[in-house]
Amino acid sequence: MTPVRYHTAAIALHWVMAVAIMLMLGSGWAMGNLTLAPSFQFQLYQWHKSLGVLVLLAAVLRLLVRLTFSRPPLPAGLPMRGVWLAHVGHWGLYAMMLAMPLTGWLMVSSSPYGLPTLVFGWFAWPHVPGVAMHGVVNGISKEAHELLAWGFLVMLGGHIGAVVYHARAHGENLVRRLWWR
Amino acid sequence: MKMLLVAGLMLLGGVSTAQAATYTLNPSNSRIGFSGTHAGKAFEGVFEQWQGTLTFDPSSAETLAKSTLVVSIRTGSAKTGNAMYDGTLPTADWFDTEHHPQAGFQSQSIVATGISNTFLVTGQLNLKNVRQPVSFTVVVGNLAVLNTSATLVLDRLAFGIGQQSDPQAAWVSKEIGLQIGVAAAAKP
Repeated sequence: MTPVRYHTAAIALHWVMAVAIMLMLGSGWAMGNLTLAPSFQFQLYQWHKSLGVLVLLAAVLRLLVRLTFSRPPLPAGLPMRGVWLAHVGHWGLYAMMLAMPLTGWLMVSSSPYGLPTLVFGWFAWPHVPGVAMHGVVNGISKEAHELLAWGFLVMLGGHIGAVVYHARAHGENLVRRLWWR
Repeated sequence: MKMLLVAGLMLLGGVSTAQAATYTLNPSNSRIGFSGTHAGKAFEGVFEQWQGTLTFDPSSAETLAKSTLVVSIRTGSAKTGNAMYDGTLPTADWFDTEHHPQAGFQSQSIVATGISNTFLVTGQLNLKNVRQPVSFTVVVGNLAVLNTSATLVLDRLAFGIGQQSDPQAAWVSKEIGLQIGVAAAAKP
C-alpha cells in the first residue's frame, strides 16, 4: 500500500534541511558580497563550514531514506511533462544537496588559508586529501560552488513554485505529504 | 697579615665573578611567547618545546665578545590554545613544520649599550630556511640568577609566513611580537 505521506525521517530531514539550506545560501551570499567586520566575516566562514558538514551528512541520510522507504504517489492526473519535471526536479535537488557541500569541502581543503574545519568546535572534519594549497582545484571548486548556489536557488524557486502551482491550479495541498497531520 | 688575607679573598671573589656564566635555557626556566592580531582580534601563544644555551661574561670587553646565545625552537610546538590557530600554524604556508621542524637563533655579537647592565644581542634568526638579522636589548643584573626579558617584532612576510594566504595582512598582522622571559640559574 502506498503511503499518504513521506516517511517520518524524510519529513523531518526535509524541513531541517530546508532551514539549513536557506541559512547556507544566505550566509554564503553575505560572505561573498557584503563588507563585514573581519572578525565577524571569519566567524561566519567557520560557521558556514560547520553547517555545511552537517548538511552533507544530512543529505547522505536523506538519500538513504529516499531509497529505502516508499513515497506517496504523484498527484493523480499529472501529465507526462509534470511527472518528468517532478523526477528531474527532485533528483536535481538531491544532487545539489550533495554537490554544494562537496564543492565547498573541496574549496576548504584546497584553500590557501589552510584552516581546519572544526564543526562548531565539536569535532575536526578532515580535508579532502591531496589537494592542499592547490590553486587550480581551489579556483574551480570556488567557481562551481558559486554557480551551483545560483542554480540551487533557481531549482528551489521551481520546487516552491510547483507547490504553489498545484495549490492554485488544482487545489492540491502537496505540503500535507510532508507534514504529520 | 689579616688585611692581606681579606684582600686575597676579595681578589678571589673578583675572579670568580669574572668567570663566564653558562645558562641552559628551556621552557622550565624561560618562556618564548608570540603575539599578533587575526581578524582584528589579538592572539598570543607560546613555544612549548625549545632549548637554548647562553654563555655570558660581561667582566671585560674581551670576554663579552666571546659571549654567545644559541636557541633552537620546535616550530610544531607553537600553541595558542585556539584549535583553529593551532590547526593552521603547522601547515605549509605558515610554519611548514613538516619541512622546517626547527627554527633557530644564533648570536653574532653581544655588546654593551653604554646604559648600565644593558646589552644588545644581534644575531641571525633562521625561520623556514630564511635567515634574517634580528637584534634586541636585554637588561642583565644578577649573573647567578639571570632574570631578564626581551621583546622583538618580526615581519612574518620576511620569513615567508602566510605569504600565500595573506600577503596583504588582511587577516593576520604582518608584525608578530616575540616576548622572551628568562629566569635561569647559572650552570655551576
